[in-house]
Amino acid sequence: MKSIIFLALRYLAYYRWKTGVLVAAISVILFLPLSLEYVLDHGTERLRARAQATPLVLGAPGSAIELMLSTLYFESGNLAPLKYALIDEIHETMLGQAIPLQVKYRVGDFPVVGTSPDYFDFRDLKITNGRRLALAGEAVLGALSAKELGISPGDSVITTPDTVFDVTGTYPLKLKVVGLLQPTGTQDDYAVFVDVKTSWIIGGTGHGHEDLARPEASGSVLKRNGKDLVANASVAAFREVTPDNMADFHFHGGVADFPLSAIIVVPRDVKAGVLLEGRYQNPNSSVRVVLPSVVIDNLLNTVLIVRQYVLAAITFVGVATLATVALVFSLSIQLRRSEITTMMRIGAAPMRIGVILGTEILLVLAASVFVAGIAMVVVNAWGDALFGWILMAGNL
Amino acid sequence: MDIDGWELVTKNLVIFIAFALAACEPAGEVVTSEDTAAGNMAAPVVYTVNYPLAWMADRIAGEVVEVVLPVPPTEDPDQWQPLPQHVLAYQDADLVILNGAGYAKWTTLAFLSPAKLVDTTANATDWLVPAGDVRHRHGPKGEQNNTDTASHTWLSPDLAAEQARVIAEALMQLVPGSAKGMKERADTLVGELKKHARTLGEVFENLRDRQFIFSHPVYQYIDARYSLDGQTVVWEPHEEPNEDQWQAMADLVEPDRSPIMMWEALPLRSVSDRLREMGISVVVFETGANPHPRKGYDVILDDNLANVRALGSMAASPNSAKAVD
Amino acid sequence: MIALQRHWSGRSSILFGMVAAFLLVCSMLPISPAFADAVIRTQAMNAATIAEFYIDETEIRLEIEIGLSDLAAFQSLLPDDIHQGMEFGSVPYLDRIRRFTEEEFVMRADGTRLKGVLKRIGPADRVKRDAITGEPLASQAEADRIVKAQIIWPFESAPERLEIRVALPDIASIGFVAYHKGVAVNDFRYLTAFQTLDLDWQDPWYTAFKSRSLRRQYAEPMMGFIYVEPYEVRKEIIVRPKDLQRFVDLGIEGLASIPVELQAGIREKAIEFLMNHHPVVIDGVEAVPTMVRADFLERTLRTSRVIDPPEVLDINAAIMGVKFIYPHKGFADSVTMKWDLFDQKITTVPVSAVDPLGAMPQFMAPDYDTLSWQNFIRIPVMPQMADIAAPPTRLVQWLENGRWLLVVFAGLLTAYFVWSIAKNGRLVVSGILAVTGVLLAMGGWWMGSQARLDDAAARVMVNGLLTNIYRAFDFKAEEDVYDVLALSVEGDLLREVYLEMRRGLVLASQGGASARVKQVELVSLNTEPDGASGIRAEVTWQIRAAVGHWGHIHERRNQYKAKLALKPVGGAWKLVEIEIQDEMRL
Repeated sequence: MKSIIFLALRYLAYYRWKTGVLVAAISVILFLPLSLEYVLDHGTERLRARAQATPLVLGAPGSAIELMLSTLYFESGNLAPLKYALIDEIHETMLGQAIPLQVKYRVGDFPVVGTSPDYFDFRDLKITNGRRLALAGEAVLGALSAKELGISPGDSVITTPDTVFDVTGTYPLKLKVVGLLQPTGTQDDYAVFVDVKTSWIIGGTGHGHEDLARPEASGSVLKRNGKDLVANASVAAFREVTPDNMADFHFHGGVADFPLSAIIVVPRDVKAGVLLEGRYQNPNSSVRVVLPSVVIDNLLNTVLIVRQYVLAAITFVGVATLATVALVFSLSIQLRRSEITTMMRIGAAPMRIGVILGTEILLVLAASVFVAGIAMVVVNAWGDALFGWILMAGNL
Repeated sequence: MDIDGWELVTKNLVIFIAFALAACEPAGEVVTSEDTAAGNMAAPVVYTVNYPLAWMADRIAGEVVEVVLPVPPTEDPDQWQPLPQHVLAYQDADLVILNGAGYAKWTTLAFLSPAKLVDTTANATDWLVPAGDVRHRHGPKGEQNNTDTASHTWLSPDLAAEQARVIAEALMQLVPGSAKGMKERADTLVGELKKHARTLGEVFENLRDRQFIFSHPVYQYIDARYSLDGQTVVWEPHEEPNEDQWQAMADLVEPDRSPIMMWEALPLRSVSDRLREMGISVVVFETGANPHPRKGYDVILDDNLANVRALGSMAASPNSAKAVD
Repeated sequence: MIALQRHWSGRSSILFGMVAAFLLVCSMLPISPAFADAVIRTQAMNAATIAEFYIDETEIRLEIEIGLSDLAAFQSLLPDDIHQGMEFGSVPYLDRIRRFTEEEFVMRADGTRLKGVLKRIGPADRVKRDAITGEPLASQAEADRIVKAQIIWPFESAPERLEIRVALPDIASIGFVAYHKGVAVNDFRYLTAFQTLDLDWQDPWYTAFKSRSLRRQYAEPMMGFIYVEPYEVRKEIIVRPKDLQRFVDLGIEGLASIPVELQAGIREKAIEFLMNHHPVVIDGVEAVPTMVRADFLERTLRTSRVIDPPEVLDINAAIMGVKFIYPHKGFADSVTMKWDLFDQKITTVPVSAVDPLGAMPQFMAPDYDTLSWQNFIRIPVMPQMADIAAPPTRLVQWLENGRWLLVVFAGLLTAYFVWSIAKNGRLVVSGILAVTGVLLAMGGWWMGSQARLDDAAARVMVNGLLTNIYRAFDFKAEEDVYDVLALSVEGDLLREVYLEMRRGLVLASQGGASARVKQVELVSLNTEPDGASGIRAEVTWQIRAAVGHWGHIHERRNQYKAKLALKPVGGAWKLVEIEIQDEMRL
């Protein structure tokens, strides 16, 4: 047996390029479906985990997928807003805890997520550097957004205006970074967290400016009717919240009507969750309840259907590749006729010659399996990081 | 039967019976009760934004919760600007009791969990009165800024009673095991406040024809509740008013109505004297927003009542007007 | 935070609650009332001749369908060739027409005879009509042939009173209905020799025949109903917007119709106004409604339905229903409703108190303005949950599976005893062992048999489960509904059924009816074991439900066929899967 393997190896080594190409082709065909399975399983597991960890989401009627993307992955779409009054409404039911989310603005490519302290407890987000949010105008960054922006506690970030061409649009707000979060391996790592009130200030619902009642501010007053003033457009809003100007910040209108993108609801227990869902079953209601796990499952089912097509394509290609490999081996044997004749003449039995040729094929296959295996080991070992890089590349 | 045989029988029987007992539960899914939290052994912590609320919470909760008012005693709780560490302490509390009606404006910009906030005047919007502040809007069609509500709601004892009810409900939800005791204490407190409201009403009734001048815009609820129809200036107890202010006071005063000026604290002696010369009686009606170093809020209530009552027992004569504290 | 593990049940289960929701939705559709309220049913719409009078500002128009059996009575209208062919004589046609309008079918307006003009006459198909309402049916197939004629009596000024005198040369059976400016004055009745009709041109709703027997069933502009049910009292007020306009400005003064865009505002104003009227006191305490809803209704003798989608409404015929829901703990002992809306046109108001035993109609008047209901019911009215035997314990299940082993074991011990006898061995020990083994085998055999549900026990169990699921519909508080459902349904199905029920309640609250299932009856049941302890069943069952709304009480029977999966959970049988296969109305 040793001699057979020796001969086979020597042959393969001599024709190293041909051997290399064959091994590469076969190992790619073996690796592709396995890695696809891994990536999809891993990815769906991550997607499902985040969705399953989020019991209920309230949103305005519309696309459930858009609502999920906004709530779980902070993709700011064109969602109709909810009213903040829903937060109190849910708390009054005593069926669960309501966590507001306002995801509309960005710092560069990173979403600004306006929320409440409960979000941090809910997602188990911990501060690694600095402190928690305390006041409006402050921000706490996820691990990766801080790294990308090169920000530390004490630095500032500025929100990105929606457009540079709309002179009547909201102005950017300078946020003071007070803390950085530990990495979580989730979308929270890419976020810039602020108080939901800060997000309203960014949106212009709240602002600070000079006291219009003072004589110095008369140039900014359009009309005065007793104690009611109408300010003109020359009033300049403060561009950041500081301890000196914080007292001058205020909101216009009732907080109950202020907008939210979504509300995460953490029910007290299973029964409370069902009762809460039951309260929002009216199809004409301005609020809808969505189960993230169901939406993501439906989405992933679609993705998995696509997987079937991809697998089918890979299989087709694989069959073609293997056929080509078989053709190569066949042609190779034909080209080696004289060699085979020589071996026979020097006393090699046909069976033995067949075994040598077969061993060559087996060695090529074994090498391919080995290479594919090594590749899968690499993917398994560094798959998380790889997956995160892919996501980040996708975000950026 | 020999011993071996008995052993065999009894052992088998014991095994069988044990087996049977272990199996005596319904087939199918075994339902286990949900794991409930064992309960935090430390007392829940309740933060408030002013002393009257802290006093009410303490009266109602007793020893069951720890009530905290972190506002420095020298700061006006309404105008206090907390440092971040203060806000973080509020964040960590189990409950945060707010006055509402725009009191403690810092809370509108603080990062606090809405689930822990209790606005004690949220359901009393019918009772709220305007502050008389300047309001503004941006452009003719803009929304008004929402700062025109008088915030010292607890000065009306009836409204304070309502606030006490709201506090009681929140505390009973926080510590349901002590709800019964809290309810009794809350009912007692509400009863006392309502009685105080009636008594104060009788006392103000005796002063019905007097002119009331408020030294600071904090008495709107007393004014509204007892129809005092007073006017407000902005004079500080520890400051000497300037001549313009004295002149404005002179223009304001109606001597034939034996005016009374209500102060949060005793004004400077020179100010009291000059007011007396103008025929204006001075009465101290503490708001109690900060904790008093020597007396609790119930004593403040009694003192306020006594001070106002003393006004009624004095003759309505300029020469006999004196500061009542 | 308690993490929720939701296992989506997949596509195989169709929601049981859809049945319930379908029931509630279907209850809004017209059905044959088994116990309708007091509807005077005549057969006038099936008379040989049907006459419809249309009265407007300028004329009276008669559309008449003359049955072939009544041609002799209406011979004056027949063309000459037919008249002669039927051997009615040879009076000239014009003379016969004159004779018809001047002697045989006379209209007088304020005492003056009106001149009638025959506009057209000819053969046609009879309009097939609903047996109760007289409304034309959707399907007009296989209609009888009749002679259709149109006669008009024009007038110059709107009369206050009309007289109809009929003196036909032969007997005729004439069913008739009159419309004044589009408003039906009466329900289908037989036309007699003489009728007087008082016309109210300001408000045709109040146009009425002098004869009380011709009063429209729904003649009153306002009606009130109190429904007393377990956990709930309901007040339903039916009101004409045109009459309500006299009490509160709905913005419809002077309008001839109510456009769609005004209807939402009218409903809101009606609710706002009526919230402060007709106070309801339940068990001595003034009740506050938790839900109020107003809808425009279409009322027929058959049923009342919410008009949805909205459409333009004739101001004179428009009717609104306003519903107030008062949740109550348990079943009320006493309920009163005070009627406080009377004026010169509204002097009496028909009201009714409806409880599980039926309706008690009355009339309210200014000097008798309080509807009172007292609980004199002596039978149980609260929803009764069915008792369901507990599933077998694990021990019983083991015994059921292993009882043969016990028999073998007993046999071995007995054999040992016999051998001991033969060999003079330990008789006492082996005897005791044998007896013990036999007793255990006997006991185990009997206990094991309890694990298997026989047909009778299975029927009782499935019937009870289904009954208890329907019982959940009777509860009003959401927590109660959930808890009751949780006694019978488990897992994801519990959530799905609960949510479907809530969706059904939303539909019901949007103007539809509330249904109560009174009886559940199994028609057929086939069961087979499912795994270690479960059961799969193919079931056919019927339900009988009562639906009450807007003064009507309907009964409905439905039949369902489904595949069920039942499992013991927590010591009780519960439904874990359901697949509806068929559903039909009986």
